[in-house]
Amino acid sequence: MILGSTWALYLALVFGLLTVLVLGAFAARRVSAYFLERRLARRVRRIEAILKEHRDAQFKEVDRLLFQLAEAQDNKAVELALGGVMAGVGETERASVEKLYRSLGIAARYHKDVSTAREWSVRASSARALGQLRYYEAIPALVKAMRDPHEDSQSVKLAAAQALGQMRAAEAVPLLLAELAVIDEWASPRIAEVLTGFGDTATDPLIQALSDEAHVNVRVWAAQILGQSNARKAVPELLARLQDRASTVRMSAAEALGKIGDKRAATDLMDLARRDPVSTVRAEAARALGRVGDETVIDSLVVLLDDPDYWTRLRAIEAIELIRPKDTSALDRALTDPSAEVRGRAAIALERIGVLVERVTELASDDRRLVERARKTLEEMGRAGLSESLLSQLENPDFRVRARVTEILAEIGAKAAVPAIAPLVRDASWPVRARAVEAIARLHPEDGVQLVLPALGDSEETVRSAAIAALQAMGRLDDRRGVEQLIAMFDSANAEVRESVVAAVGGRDDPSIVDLLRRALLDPSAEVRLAAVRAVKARASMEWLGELEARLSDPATEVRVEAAEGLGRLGTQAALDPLTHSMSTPDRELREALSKVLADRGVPAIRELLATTTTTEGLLALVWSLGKTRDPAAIEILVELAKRPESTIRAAVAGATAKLLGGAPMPILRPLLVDTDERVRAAAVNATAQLGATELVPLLFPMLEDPDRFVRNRVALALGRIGGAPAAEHLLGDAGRAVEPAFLAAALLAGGSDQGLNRALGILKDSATKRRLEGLLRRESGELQVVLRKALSLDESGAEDLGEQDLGARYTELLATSSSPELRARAARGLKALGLAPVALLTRSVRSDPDPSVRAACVAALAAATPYSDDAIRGFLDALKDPIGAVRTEAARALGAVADPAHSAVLLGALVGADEALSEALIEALSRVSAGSVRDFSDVLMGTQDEAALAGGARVLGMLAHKDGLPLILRWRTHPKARVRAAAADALGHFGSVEAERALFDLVTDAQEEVRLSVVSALARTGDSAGGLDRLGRDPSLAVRLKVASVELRSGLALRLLEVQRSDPDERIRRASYMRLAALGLAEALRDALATEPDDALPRVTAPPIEAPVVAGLVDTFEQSLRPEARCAAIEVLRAIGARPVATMLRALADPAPEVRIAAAHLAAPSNEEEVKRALEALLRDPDPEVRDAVRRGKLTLIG
Amino acid sequence: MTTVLIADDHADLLAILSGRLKAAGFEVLEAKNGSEALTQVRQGRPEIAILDVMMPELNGFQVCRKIKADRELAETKVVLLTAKSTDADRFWGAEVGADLYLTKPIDPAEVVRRIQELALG
Repeated sequence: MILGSTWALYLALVFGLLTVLVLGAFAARRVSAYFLERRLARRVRRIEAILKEHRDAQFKEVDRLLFQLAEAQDNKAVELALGGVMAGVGETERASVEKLYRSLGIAARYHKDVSTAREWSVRASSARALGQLRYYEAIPALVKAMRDPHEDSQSVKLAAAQALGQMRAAEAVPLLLAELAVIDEWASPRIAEVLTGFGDTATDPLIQALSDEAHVNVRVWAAQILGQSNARKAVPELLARLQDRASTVRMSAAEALGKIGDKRAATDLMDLARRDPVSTVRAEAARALGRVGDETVIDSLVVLLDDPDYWTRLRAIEAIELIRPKDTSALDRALTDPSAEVRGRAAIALERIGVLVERVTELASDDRRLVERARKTLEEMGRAGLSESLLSQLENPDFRVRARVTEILAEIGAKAAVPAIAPLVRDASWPVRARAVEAIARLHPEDGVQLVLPALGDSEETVRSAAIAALQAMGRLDDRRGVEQLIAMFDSANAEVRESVVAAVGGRDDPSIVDLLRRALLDPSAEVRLAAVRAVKARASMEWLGELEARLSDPATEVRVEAAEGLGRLGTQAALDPLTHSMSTPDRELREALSKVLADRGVPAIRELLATTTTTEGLLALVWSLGKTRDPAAIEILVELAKRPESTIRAAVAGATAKLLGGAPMPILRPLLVDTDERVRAAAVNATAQLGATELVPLLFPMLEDPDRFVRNRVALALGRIGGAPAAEHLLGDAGRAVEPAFLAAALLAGGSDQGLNRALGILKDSATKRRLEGLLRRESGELQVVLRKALSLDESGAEDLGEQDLGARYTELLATSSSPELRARAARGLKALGLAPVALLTRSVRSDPDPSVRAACVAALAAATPYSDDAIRGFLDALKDPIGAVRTEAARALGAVADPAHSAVLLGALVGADEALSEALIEALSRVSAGSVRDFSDVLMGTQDEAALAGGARVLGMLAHKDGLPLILRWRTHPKARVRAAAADALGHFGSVEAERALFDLVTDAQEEVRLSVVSALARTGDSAGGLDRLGRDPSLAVRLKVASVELRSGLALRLLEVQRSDPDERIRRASYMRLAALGLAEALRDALATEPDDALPRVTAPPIEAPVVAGLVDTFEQSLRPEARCAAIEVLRAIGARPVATMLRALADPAPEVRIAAAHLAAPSNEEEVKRALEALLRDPDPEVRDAVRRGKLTLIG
Repeated sequence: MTTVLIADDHADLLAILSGRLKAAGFEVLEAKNGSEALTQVRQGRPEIAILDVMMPELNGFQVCRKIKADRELAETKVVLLTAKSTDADRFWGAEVGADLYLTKPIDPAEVVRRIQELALG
């Protein structure tokens, strides 16, 4: 025990002694360093005094000075003292000081240090010093420092670039230009910046460099620098470069000419914008035109608004905005561009040009055309994203503007406008109040009913009426007081008010509503009665039987029809009795309604009614009812009715038969086709054609000799529609002469044979025939009219005012006859849009049209019309062998739509040698055809060797993600071809099973970059539970690391990867990961990450285009987060990247959490916004002293 | 012959205008309130409808709006005739689609002249 205590004592003594020794040594070093520093400072002061003496004498005795400095024998002190002098030296003294540096060997040491010093700070300071000294010999070393791949300090590279810029000597220009020949993403822009700084000194060599045929890169940079330097002298050579063989040079030359803004360039730029095959060049030319041009270039820019490339269209809009033409109709047109971005940009341009204000002013005009134009443009501008600009017009002093803007906002569905529209319900002007109420009803916000209720008591009838209609439109009315108010309004003298009240409250169960409905059913206004009958009908209650029956004799047809339907809905015998009693009514519309009601009751109910109905009108209504049932069970009854003596009933029987679905209508139609009455025969012929009853076609042929011409015409049409080739042949022969030419033309067209089409065209050349057909068109209806219209549309002069079917006929004709491939392609696209597919014509064109665009369009047209015939499918398969890729692509899409697994092998085979678009279409098609038979598809793949087909197959299996496909994919992860392994990796990402993820992890270390890139996307999809992305985040390939930084990830994974990426040497990777953090709303992590960025890198990693999404993400985080820490972090990051969104600043300055207010005070301190300044002033009285202090400090910093 | 509907609850004015228009060669339909006017437009399909704004049942604005909202009737030219002459009234007349807005008191000869102009397109 005692022994143990002694040891412990010794150990404590030794430890104490060691501590004293270490502390002593440390203190001794500090003391020694302190004295050394003091001694150095004394020496520096002494040398500074010597230097001052010589400087005062304007360095007349430099050699003596050199001797004195050498005598000092303290290089460090001399260097420090000289550095102080150099910093403030004037041009006259510079040569003497430089001589000192050179003679003392300091410049040479800097020259050496810039390449060899161990510490980056020494390399950077050496580079800076060489720049100050204009030590030209160091140019290659400085350039090397800029470019050195092992130089990991950006500070050294930047210092080297700045040094080169400081030299500004003509001798440096060729050296720097030569360096531009090397493609280096980091160094080249900096060299260019340096060269820009040379100004006129570099202009001539740069112009010369524009002709450097050996290096595209040099020509590009030369053009850019000349543009940046505004070198007007370079304009002729830049114009010549617009013809350069390299598109990047043409683009840079256009950009430079735009920056210089010389009007001489306008013509050449217009030409370039219109004709250059490369879209980016056209876009740049468009932008440049905006800078150099005036109204004379507008026409060219307007043409560019139809450019297929949206980017070019955007640039054209920007250019038009810069020119500010008087006529802005082209921009108006761009508001309907297919691209949302273009539409949005056009709207902004119009606003900036002042069109928004102009159009708003027009809204107050009395000229209806002006108002309509303004309304249309403002609607489009609102739809394109400027609805906020419109909102401010709700406070316009002119009531007409307020009213019309309110209507426009409702029209475009701007729900966000409701808070601004709501106060207008109490506007001083009643039209504004009316429009506000209507707008609320259309926008239908949750609190819409509450917003509208006050308008029920409005002094103006129109507003009250609008309020009731609004309540009706918005549906649910839970407010009891509101309901009572509405009921009271039923006493209004105005029928529209009464009608709206009934429509708004008629569906409620209240006893007071029952009274109201009874009164409404007897209202003098038909509209009110109609609303009441509709409300009663919806109730479907026997309580209302008497009222509905009474309304069957209402003076207004619509009311009678609604009442009949109401009774039908009740469905009881008591309700149906009044209907059968009314069956003899001469009122055709009521009979029609009754027959529909009865049809809904079914064939047995109609059979019962037939037994008690005696009048012809009643029987007719029942025949119609039978047709409307579409039930083949009606055939038996119709056979009997076909024997009735009244010809009108027999004709109606034929019509009703045509409506039935299925069954065997021959027993009815056969006798009617040989009826004694021509109207009955004609009706039977029509029914035969409508039913497509080909069994009766033999009976139709002799009817072409029917004594009645009307019947013969109908027979011809029927034969055209259902008779097939023999009928067409018959009609083309002598038999056709018995038919009116107009009907013959229509019949031949319906037949669709080439010969028939040609003959029809010939017939319609006769103007009298055309007029006859026009006359028929006005009288005929239904399918027959369709056929006639189709016939008419063959002739161009008769095509006006025709509908879709006629357009279809026009397209068919164009496709068959036009010699212009553009017209034929357009015709095929038109048929596709209409969903019409003349299969024979289209398949013929697919196989034999000489123009590939026509063939592709025909495939697409065939694919748009389902169901697919065998002919169409054969056409698709032929098209898949077409020599042109675009046709094969359409064929692939079509076969995908057919979705027949039997086509999987042929689709797979087409993947060999396919371009990107075709591959995508084939893969999409394969995924459709194989969706139901993955195992079969796997079997097909097993027999495939080609790597493109295998890779495509893997993608398909991935898209289907079916367990039957997984074994094959797992096998392919070790496939010898990288492309197949990459596709397998991509597919594994879709399976999401543990097995799939494990297999993916094996591929993380694949030797091929292509495979690892696929693994990144796949792991991002699976969630990467095993940490594969962590490893890929450190991948030696920059491309892989960039992919890891940019794939979409959930927040947990993004945070985990941030730890890897924040230390990545490449700024692009750090930028991408910050962008992702902002998008995910992870403001605190973003703040912490940005805090570790070097000051010089911060502006770059947060510069546009990262800025906008980052700011948006941060603002969202601030707005949505309940945690003060997160809100605080969002504000701090906004400050770090220099973004100051006013609304967010204001809300942050009023945040309940003091730390957020403090952060906001720092953010807002430099703001010039009056509102922000006022909010900051207010914070000087904040209850929290730290907040007050932060505001004061912010102010002091600014003053400082 | 062009058919014109006149709708006004003042019998005197109705008679005067009706007489003048008939004398000018128009076929004339008459209505004493808004509901009747709407029925007449639906059944008689006049080319022009002269509507008083302040009418029982449906006011002129409401009738005009219903006419212009109905695709089959929208071609009917509507003249609003009224003692209401504030900016708001005129504005609403234009909003509901009226082709002409005349304020009372009226000169029947002037009304006929304006209707003749309207009939000519």
